[in-house]
Amino acid sequence: MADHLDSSTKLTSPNGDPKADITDIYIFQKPGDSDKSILILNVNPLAPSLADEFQHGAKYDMLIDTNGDARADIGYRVTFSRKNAGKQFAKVVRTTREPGDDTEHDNENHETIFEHAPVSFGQNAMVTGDSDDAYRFFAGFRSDPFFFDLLAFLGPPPLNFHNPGSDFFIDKNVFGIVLEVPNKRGLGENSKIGYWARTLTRKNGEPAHLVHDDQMGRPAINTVFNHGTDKDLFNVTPPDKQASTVTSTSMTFLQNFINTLKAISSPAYTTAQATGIANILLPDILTYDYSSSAGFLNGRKLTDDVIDAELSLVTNGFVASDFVGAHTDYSSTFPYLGNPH
Amino acid sequence: MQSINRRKFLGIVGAGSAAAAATAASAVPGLSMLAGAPPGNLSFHAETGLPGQPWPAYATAVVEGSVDLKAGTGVVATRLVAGHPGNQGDIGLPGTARVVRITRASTTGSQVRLEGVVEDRSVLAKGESPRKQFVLNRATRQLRTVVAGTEVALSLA
Repeated sequence: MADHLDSSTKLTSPNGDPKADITDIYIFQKPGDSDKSILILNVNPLAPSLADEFQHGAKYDMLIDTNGDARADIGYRVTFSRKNAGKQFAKVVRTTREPGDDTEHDNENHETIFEHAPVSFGQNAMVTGDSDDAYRFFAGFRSDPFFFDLLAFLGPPPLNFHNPGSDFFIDKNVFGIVLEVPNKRGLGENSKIGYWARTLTRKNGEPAHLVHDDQMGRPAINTVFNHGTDKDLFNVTPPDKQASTVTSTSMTFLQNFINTLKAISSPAYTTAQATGIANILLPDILTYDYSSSAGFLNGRKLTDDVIDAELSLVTNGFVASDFVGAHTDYSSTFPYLGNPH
Repeated sequence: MQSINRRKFLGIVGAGSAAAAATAASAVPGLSMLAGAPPGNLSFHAETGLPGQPWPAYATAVVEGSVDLKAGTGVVATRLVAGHPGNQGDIGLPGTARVVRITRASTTGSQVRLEGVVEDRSVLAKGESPRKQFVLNRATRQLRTVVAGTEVALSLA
């Protein structure tokens, strides 16, 4: 629900591929080491029911904006081998965009960080790299860290959560990609960065042609603000173009966000208030200061109750909580995601 | 790791309902009936987006079934599918599908009331009753029931 199953057509995963369907992203200062950060990109909702591997041929991009222009200056691109005999391997490449370079992300400078990193399909997390190394990497089957009373949310308006709530995701799994990076060397000299993720998949019938599949910044933005096929459009619109892109309503995403905020808030936001909030929510990027160990809205930790924060914000305090809290199965050490159920 | 193919399961449920619908006929004007089937049989498909306006629909509640109104027997399936009405796919939200064996049917004016029971109690949520009711209204073309703990009004196809 944060970004699970957020495509409207070919549903329910974007372009019909759960392996590239982003569920959540996280970024936070590494516990106990303020010189490093942890980047997480989770995909494949309800795993392994819908899919039990990463997609060979897809590109899983963790993107960093270092100068506030909502464009990726640094990227970590993860690709996977074909699953063979129950094994799959990942390659992690760091990409950078030269200042003023407006070309797409594919034509940039590359530095290989990891090759042949094994994917974990069982309970044991196979980690590539040591804690003393600049980078560490994990990819594999893990417990879904997201928590939310989804079924109560789906009830008739107005929202009416009950205490205690029921966490729909308490027993769900995902496929997680976790990368430990050195702050300055890996994320740039400016500690205030933006982080989002996207997936690119091969177009049907044109294997050489990659299409933008899914994208996510802050949790639940696409699912809460965009109706119908506009969810698909939002998934393929680069952050720097989101506010001005015209949707199926003939209005921009920004105007749609303003209208939605006014409709779902109680007391209703004024146009000026809604405009102010919409301008914060777009572009849809997680803002993060790696010099701070604070959580959401500074990045996002696994335990941050982002839904409570966002419900309160978008409803103007009418709904303050869904009455479910963080899971208890997170790992205290890398890769931090809990063992799969 | 254990793989549960819910897509296949829901496909079977959907196919079963569709097959039932294809062989059923109408005794109640205004609902989806096919000519040539035995009189007194009712087949229907109803859905609605959840949550309701002004929130964007994230999921679709689907209720479909085939009932012999005279005998008061049949099967009704309810489920929540990801995606908004008209564009939902084939991924059900886990734990939300119910198959109800109809045990009683009654008709009053434009209204058909169906009562039944979920035989597989293992799928029930804590505190959820196995007994289910469905009220179909020909005049308003609405079906009212509880799906995933929420009372909803669904539009009949």
